[in-house]
Amino acid sequence: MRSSKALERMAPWIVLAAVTLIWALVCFAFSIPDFIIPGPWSVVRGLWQNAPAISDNALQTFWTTMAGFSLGTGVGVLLGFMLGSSRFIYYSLYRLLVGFNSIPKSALVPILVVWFGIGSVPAVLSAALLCFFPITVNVATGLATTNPELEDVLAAMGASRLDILRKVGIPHSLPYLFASLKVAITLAFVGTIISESIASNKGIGYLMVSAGSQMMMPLVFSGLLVISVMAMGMYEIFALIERRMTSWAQRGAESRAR
Amino acid sequence: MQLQLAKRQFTVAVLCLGASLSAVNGATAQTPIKFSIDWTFQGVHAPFAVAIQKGYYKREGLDVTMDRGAGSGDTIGRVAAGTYDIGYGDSNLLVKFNHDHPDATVTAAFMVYNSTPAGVVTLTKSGIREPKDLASKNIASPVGDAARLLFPAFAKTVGIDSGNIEWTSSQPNLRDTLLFQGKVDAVASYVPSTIMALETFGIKQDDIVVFNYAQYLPGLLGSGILVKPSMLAEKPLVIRAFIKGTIAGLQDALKDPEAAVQSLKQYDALINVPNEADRLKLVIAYSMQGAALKEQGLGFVSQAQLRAGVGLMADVNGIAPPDDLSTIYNETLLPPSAERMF
Repeated sequence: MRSSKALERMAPWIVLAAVTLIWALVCFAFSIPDFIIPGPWSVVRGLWQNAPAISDNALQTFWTTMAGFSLGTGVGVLLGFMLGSSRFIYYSLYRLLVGFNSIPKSALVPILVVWFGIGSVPAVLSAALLCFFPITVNVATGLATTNPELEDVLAAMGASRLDILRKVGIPHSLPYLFASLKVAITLAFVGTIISESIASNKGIGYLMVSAGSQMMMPLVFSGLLVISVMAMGMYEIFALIERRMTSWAQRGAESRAR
Repeated sequence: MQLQLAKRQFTVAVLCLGASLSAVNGATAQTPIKFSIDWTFQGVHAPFAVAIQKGYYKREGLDVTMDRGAGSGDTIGRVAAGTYDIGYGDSNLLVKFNHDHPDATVTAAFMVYNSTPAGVVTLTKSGIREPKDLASKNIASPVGDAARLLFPAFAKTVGIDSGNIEWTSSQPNLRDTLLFQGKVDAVASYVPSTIMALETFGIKQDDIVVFNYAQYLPGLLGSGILVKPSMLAEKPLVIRAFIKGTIAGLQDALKDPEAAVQSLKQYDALINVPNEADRLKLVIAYSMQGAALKEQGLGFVSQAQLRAGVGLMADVNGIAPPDDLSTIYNETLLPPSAERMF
């Protein structure tokens, strides 16, 4: 029992080490030059040598993404709430939302630039526009799939629609919401990077374009690495919050895993 | 009652003082200028960084903020839309842009680099020695790239059929890799960037073969300061001030490229100063030659070159050239020749 728990915790690190080793071996075996695919050592070295500049850009991306993510979450929850609680709103809006979501956001960035200039604003909006949709869908699904017997019991006891929503609807949607938040945070990073690579003087997106045009590929990969780490960190934070707030929904998970 | 009156008088006095102070400040306030370059910060933009850092714009009464761009075409659009007051980009693209958007034209007010160093680059191992050898070869270039667009005119001049060329479309940063790997015979590109990329890959200068369009297409224009015609009419002094600041920065950059590129570090801390200094020197070597330029000073474009360049771009785009060449390059705000020497 103890050793399997320890193994569970070591597992991701073992996999990471294995992937890094395979990456290094492939680069070595095929003599792939640094400017096509840098090996792990070049990437780490690039990270180390340019740490101040990379961390500067990384912080810019991080805060922009957090702002965009908060905006996207707010809009997503609101829209999901509206779609989940009213059939009329659902039918009038959901097709438009799907259509809108299919538009590549890189096409929208130049329009945002004309309205807001380059910099953080298009990046925040890009992140928000990319990440609101999964949240909307999940919150709407959570609300729409609430157990009808539970709702009937409460209605029979004289609860208003709002009461039912508060006692049954919202708690039921929480697991769905958290699942979507984990997806949305990674999308928010993507949105920020897309905008920064076209329209920003700072940020990991800018770093990747600038380093790419100077053929400094190890630096580009360092940027990618930093984004991955940030996204993984945020994912873990939301997973933690999820365990705290919806532990009642995960009671079966542990026993099933055994 | 007395106290209240005194208080009111005091308040009025303070307000008047505040108003007059801000009026004085307003009189000496700098004009804010939003300026967009054409790409990420590179060596060629050093003149602007120098001018900002050393206060050349400030002494002309301008407070300039410089933002990166996403290609000359996009920068022209930003100036036309009014998102930016002034832009820097390839003035060759103005011919088609102004033709397609007659209500929102853009004009060049000062030519920073005299001709765009676009061309075809290949390696000696491809066996291509002169332009004629390019016939029916495989050339890599992004769609819409200026070098690709100009290739038919180049082909006509050197006597090959551009219709037989096999084009490989690729992004700029992958294009040079394709040449290095031998997957294509040549690339059509912004020559200094390709040369620098090839040197990064370890290829020596002697193994690189360059056909610079400017040699074969004498009219080719360069990159310059772009403004809206309405700004030219309404704020000529502001534009002239910007041109003067830019000339000062450009003179410094031409004298000492390394020191000039240092100024770019405040915009992009990751800039590799020796590399970007090399890039700047290459662009200077390709774009700033010619006796006429040395005689007449920075920003000089002869009417013959202007007519030929505009005609060239109209030709390759299949449109009629504008009747008034000053809609493409308006020289009226250039300072006297003596101030533009280098």
